[in-house]
Amino acid sequence: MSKTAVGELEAIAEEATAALRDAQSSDAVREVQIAYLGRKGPLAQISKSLGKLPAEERKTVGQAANRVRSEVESAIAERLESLQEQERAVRLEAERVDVTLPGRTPPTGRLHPLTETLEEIVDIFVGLGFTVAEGPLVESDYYSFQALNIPPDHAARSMQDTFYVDTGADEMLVLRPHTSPTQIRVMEASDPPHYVVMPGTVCRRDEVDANHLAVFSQIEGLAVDDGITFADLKGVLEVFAKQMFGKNLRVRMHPSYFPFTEPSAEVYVSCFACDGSGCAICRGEGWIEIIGAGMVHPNVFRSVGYSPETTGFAFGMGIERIAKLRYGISDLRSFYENDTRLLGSL
Amino acid sequence: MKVPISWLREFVDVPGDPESLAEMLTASGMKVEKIQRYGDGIEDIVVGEVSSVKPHPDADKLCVVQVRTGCMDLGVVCGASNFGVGDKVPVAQPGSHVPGLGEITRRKFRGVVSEGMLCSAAELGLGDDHTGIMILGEDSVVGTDVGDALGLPEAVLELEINPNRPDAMGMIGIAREVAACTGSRLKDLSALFQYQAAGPPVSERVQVEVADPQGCPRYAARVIEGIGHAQSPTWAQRRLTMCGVRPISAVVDATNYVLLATGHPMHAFDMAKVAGRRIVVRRATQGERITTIDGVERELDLTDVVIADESQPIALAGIMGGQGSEVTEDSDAVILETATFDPRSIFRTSRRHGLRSEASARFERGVDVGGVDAASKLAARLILEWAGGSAAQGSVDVYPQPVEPQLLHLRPERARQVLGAPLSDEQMVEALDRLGLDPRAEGERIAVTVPTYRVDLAGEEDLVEEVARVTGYDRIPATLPPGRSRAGSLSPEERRTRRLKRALIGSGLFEARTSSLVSAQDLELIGHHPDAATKVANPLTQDEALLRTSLLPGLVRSAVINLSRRHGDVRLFEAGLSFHPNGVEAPTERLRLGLAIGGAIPQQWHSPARPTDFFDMKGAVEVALQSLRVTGVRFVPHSGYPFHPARAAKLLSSDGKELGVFGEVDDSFARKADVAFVLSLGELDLDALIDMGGKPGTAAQIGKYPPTLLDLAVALPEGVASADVIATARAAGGPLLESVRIIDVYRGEQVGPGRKSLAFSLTFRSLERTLNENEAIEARDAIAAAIGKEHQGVVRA
Repeated sequence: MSKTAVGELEAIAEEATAALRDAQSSDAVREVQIAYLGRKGPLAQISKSLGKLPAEERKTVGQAANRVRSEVESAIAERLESLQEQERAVRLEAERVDVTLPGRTPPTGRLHPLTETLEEIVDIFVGLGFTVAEGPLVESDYYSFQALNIPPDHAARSMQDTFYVDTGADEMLVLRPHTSPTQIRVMEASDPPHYVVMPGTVCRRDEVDANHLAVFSQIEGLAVDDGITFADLKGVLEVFAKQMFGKNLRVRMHPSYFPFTEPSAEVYVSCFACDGSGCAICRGEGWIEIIGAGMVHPNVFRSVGYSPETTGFAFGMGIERIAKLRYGISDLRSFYENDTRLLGSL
Repeated sequence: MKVPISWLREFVDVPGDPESLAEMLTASGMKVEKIQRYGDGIEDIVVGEVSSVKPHPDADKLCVVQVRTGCMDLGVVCGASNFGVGDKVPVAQPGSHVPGLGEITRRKFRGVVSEGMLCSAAELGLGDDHTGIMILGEDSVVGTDVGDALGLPEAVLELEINPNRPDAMGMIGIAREVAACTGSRLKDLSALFQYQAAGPPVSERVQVEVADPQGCPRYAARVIEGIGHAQSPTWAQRRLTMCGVRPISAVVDATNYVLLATGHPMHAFDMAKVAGRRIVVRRATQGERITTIDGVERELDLTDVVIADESQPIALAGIMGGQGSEVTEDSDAVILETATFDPRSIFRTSRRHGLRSEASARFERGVDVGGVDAASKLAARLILEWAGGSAAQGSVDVYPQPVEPQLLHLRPERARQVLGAPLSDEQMVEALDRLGLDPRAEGERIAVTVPTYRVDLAGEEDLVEEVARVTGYDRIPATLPPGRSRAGSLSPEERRTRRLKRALIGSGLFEARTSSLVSAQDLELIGHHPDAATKVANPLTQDEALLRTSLLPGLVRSAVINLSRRHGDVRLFEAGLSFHPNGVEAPTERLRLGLAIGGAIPQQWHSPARPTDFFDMKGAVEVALQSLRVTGVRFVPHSGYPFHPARAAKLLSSDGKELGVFGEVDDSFARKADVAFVLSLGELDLDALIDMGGKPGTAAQIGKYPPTLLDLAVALPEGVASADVIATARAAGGPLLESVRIIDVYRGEQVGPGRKSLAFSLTFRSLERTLNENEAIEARDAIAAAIGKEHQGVVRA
């Protein structure tokens, strides 16, 4: 009997192994598991019948049954694992995405290139210890010209054509043609030292074309303090130019004329596109004029009630011009069209 | 200012090539914008005289020309026909070089041998004129080199002269600058200003009265009689042409030549046309008229200074002569005017008449009162040379208050203090000496004498600049300002504005910039009255006639530009100023936030297309408020042009102040603005929002126990605002209600007409413990009851 029972167990083991081999899915394996290891399965039957066997035989058959059960169990586990592995691989493959499809991006906009440029300029000067001040666009003749050493009917007034505003007051107001009036307001408001940059909108009565706008923006700088020199102006603008346009840039100053500074200078930087060898951006000159600057004219100090022996420097630059150079914009008007394809490309 | 270098060489030694001269002048502040070259590469081209012109036997468009070039006669085949026998023309003989053509050889044209070619001006590198052969002046000597006759090759510098340097608006002034740069001296020019005067004294020919000595500090007249009609010599015409002045006649060319050489404007009157031979410099009378030589009749007023004869104005002083007294071919005698005028008066008159001339450009900057006589003599000399005649002796020179050269002082210590450069006193003296300022050390100071031509030097600061300019800006070191500790910073307003802009671009809006100047139509379009805007008194175009009272016109234009060029949606914002009239005071400038969102969001693989609407705009407004930390505001319905009456809102502060409006635009606006897409606009008072904006708050208490989420759907009358329902829910929900989210808005059969259903997701949470679901249900029921009571709401199962 015991031999028979043991033989039967061997047969069950073989059968189960064959059934597992045939099972092609984890579900089928589970069926095999229930069929052979379940309460109604053959192994359970044999275990139940163990009690009827003589003690000696019970031991042999019992041991054989346990061995077969654990063999079948591990065969099932093995098969299950391998099938689950396969099934997972199939499932994951089915979940494959086209990684080249565009992502779900939240829509994003852009700062205007003029803002970007202005912020960068402002931040460099903030780093150099400057604060920021603003003044009105609609200004008095006094702040726009007279306090800046430009008397009425002076030829320097034709350096820019000015828009006027008639409010019915005795004197016409002007749309400031430069941000320089803010210098006067800053100096009137408090005593030196002053380290200030002053951005703002300015207007010139110019025919609008690719290189001229009637309304555009500038930033003005002013430093008034004991011992400020022209050399300091040069140093500050050099630091600025290198931070703004590149470390290897060279800076050059030429004498120039502005009524409110003396000595006056035009500041050139070596072309950041061609490094000074001459290209379309610098019109073959290798140098680009970016800033007008100088030492504050004593008459300007006089007009704000400072001693004419005070020293200070001032400078100004056009934001559109710098942005145009940086972004390679050929027509200034396109800054004000706001075509988002262009803005987004910058 | 165009400066032919050969002309400059008459007055000063010019070292090096044109490029290094240009660099030197630019570094001294006389910016050279361009170097124009003429006649580069011409070689052995000679003056020939045409002795016969015959048709080509075998070609209609060619002719065979015999030219005499001194010892030889050449037969040349030519395609042009603008010349005749006796004309002098440039001849390129075999072996000569023409720029672009290389060496000229003997060659056959349709069977006729051509022994060289006749040249056009363009072929000689003298301009663009290809249309015919260049006709040389009668004074050209046959057989001589054309290059020599025309002063070729030539380089002309184009200089930008700063407005404070009228002295540099002539060759001699530039020569002085070159001398200062190189440390050389001007050549002796005295011979230039000498001429033979054989006639009677000028005072017997013409009387001069200056009735307005303030407007005309000096007036000198010379008279030349018996002149013939003549052309100026070829070399002079060439110089004028290279300087951009068209040659006209010997007399006119002489005055222009003097202007270019000395910077001193001149004028010549036909003496026969000056009534009473009397020159009066006076203010115009009100309404007096003059026709200037440009043919325009001009009405004058009391501020204009005129040159008049006995009866009427004959010139607008210092700006332009009158037609009636103009020198013509028939003129026999001329009165030569050399004067100076008050720069401001010239500036005013020239602007008022919109009339600028070479003369006014100089007078408004200030012409050397000390140079009048020399300029006048040079002009007399040139007219005698070029047009013949005889000069009356001397001049009438009305100069009641002679100007003495100014004495100025420079403290070398001050110069070092301003420049921050270690320049020695000696270096400064040398620089001032090069400029001809005759520097003398006087103790702690250097005294200088300013020649009258340097009208720009008025104070010590000007001398500091001269020293820096002549020694070179590149000799000044670069340093940083003194090491006083100081912190740079942005203003709080600027920081908030930056935060706002970044939040908006992060939610898909592009920052726009639009013009501060708009047209009346722009404002009318958005419902603003142009009369309520500040007007520009002198607009250039009607598009820039008013200061904007709103950012919307510009944003609408930009939105239209975007969607006319592409499909999709457009989202723009601008933070900028608007201007609001304030009586006689300057307009009030307010910072505003303008928004424009329009078009349809295109379909993507993961989401369908949909048109933008009110809620896209409201979302942007909410982002703006959040970024500025503005809380406690309310949205109430708004109706009013240009907005859709049922799809627009007003933003109110907690105390009821209006902070802005936004919404979809009305179809009547869309028609007017030519907007062919859905569009929402918004404009907020950014100054007010920045003021209201809170500081960073203290951290909120975050519950750690699990929340209980319950839904609630309520049918409500259509007119009930969801914000009010939420307020009711919050009030009724007690401390356990953490948040209320609207998850659905439904209209349809299930709720019936005139009603809508709002579905809420309610989050309940206790900060102290895990919530029992019944507590949450109780709270929800309380909310439902409150909504039912306050808003006629019916809970839906």
